[in-house]
Amino acid sequence: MKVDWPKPNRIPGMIDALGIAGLLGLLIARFIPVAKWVPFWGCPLRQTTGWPCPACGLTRVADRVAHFNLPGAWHANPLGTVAALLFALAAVLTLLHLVFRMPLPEVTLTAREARAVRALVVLAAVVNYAFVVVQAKFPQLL
Amino acid sequence: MQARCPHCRNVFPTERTGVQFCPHCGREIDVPNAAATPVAPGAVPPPPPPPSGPAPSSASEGWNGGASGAASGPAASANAEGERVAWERRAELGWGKALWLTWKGSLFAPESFWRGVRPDGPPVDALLYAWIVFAVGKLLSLPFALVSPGGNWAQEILRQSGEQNPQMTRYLEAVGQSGPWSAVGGLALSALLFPVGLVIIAAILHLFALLFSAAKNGYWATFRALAYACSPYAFAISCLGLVSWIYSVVLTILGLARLQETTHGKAAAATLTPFVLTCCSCCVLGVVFAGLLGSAMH
Repeated sequence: MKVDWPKPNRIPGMIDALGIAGLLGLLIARFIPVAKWVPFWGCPLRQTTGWPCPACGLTRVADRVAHFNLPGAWHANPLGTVAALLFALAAVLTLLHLVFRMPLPEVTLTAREARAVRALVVLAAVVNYAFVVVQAKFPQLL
Repeated sequence: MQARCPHCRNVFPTERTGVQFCPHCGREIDVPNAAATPVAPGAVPPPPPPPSGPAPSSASEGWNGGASGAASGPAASANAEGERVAWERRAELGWGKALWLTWKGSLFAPESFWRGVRPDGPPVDALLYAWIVFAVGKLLSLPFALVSPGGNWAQEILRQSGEQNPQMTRYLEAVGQSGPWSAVGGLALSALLFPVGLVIIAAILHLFALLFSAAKNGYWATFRALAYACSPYAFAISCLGLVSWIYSVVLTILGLARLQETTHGKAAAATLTPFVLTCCSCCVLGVVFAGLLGSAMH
């Protein structure tokens, strides 16, 4: 793995885009109760079959993270909670980068490391979905 | 400068040196760092005449997946010389003509169009193009928004299907009573917020491109692919909205494959996985809606 620190700059990049997404998403989750305002908000798969989809619980995660209820968010969707926290971190980094010209590190992975990271992400998604399914269908196992 | 592919022996114009893909056979070649060299590698002048037939069968392994026939037609001519996309030459072409050529090329000759789009080009140009196209689409859909009966059609479907959902009915009544001007406001707001949305969607798309090893040229290449793939939104009017969205997804896949120098399979996986993962609910919603529509029609 190679980490480069560029000079102080305000050049927007990937992290900034994710930061904007995180900032807007968490602000909406904090101040707009989407699930209450829109009556058909929810997972039709879960409503019709009883089985959750891989993204089930993400609205609750955003709402709870935005209200600093991390245990509640973790209960709804663990990987979603990690993603929401990473989005929040990206939002902070974006502010520091765009306002104070703080340089963001440029990380370059070797092919092997990149494969390992991808495998980890896929594994985390599978484990997370298994957790969500068990929690919805077989809560007695937890 | 001109470069010659050592595999298929065809000559093609390129603006940079280094590892890149032959637009004819799709194989990876390394153009040496000799800017003054007119033909490279294996400089064997004079160059053969440009190909006029279909690509060799070996193209199936490359990023252009065999759709690398010679550029033809007026739309393709805008990019046939390997120049920048027409929109990025609007200073010399004029805004109207550049917009028209870019729109036409991206819609009707996407493979040759994407060949002319550089991964490292200015993202602001792509954003401006997408914004204008999106705004034009919103303007064209304005009359439909003004005469739209709001949520009445959905209420009718619910009533005929026997679905009794008071909360849903209240919501649809509120939508129906809000009048056409709220729809106009919605259109204007969506056009205003379009750049922010594009930046965010590009970021999500690029995350999945990273996951599928299709992010060689960085975030802004993904952004440019997504922005130029917005061309179909110019006719996202009423019922054509779904069609234009689907075609935009197809263009995004083609553009991502080209600008990130990856295969169409990886580009498709990166583009479609977010929908599969997070929008499977929407798919089911579509099925449920289709069922409701079907029962209402009977």
